[in-house]
Amino acid sequence: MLRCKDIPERASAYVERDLGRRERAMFRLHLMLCSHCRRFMRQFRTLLGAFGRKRPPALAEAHVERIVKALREQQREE
Amino acid sequence: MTGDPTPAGTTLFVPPEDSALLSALRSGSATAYREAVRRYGPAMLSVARAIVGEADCEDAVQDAWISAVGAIATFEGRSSVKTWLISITVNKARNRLRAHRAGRDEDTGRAPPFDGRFLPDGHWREPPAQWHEQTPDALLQAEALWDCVDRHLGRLPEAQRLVLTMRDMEGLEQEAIASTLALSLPNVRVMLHRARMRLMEMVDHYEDTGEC
Repeated sequence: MLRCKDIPERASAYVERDLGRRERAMFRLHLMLCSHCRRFMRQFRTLLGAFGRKRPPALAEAHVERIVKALREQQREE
Repeated sequence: MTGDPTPAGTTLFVPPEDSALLSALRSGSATAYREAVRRYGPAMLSVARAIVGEADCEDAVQDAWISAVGAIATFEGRSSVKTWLISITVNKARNRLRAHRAGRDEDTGRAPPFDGRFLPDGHWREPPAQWHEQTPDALLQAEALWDCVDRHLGRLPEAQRLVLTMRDMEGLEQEAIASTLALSLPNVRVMLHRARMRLMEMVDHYEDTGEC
């Protein structure tokens, strides 16, 4: 039987589906029975969701052009 | 990617969009370069920043592009173009870092995340409190909170910061991260777990107290 303390320790493995079948079942059983840990997992998934949505900003055009210029120079040298 | 060795004369499957991009890059046209840089540059910058920080990340990305285009003939399609470019970026960024300093941060001496939040019997001593933001988008819009997240991200050991960036922000598979960073898969899992828990702890503290 898992305790609340075991949930954060396994949270990352759980969302990655890296837990074995038995451990996964025990994890889910604990969540069914414990509202505190359900809240923890909801918050964990919300945070991961935010990371996933955080799109890296587009490169500044000046930066893009610097790179293109350097690549063209390299191509000319070859 | 692991798998059976490719018999001589056969080609690994390269997705159409990667294939078109590779041809365009080989052509040497400025338009092709521009499109490629716009498409993959942000992910490369994100990873470079995780290694060398804000000041040098643009230069590291430029180094990576020069190296990638120079080596385009050697791309074998064993990973996606994105993963390949990120791999080159990691190397170039680390080269810049070595030029500036030696030594790595270790996550030693810090209490494990959520230490002290549990009773001896394993129950919560301080259960998680309700957050103000209930959705990923709401979290993202909380500017002060994200400033705090960015600050704490910067304080993570490099390996943890890199693994979290590559997995949670850039969506790379754990296996691809392992081979890119020359880490074992179990090690990647541990880094990811530690980084995520450290940031969870930080966000939880911020939601509770308003303090970063």
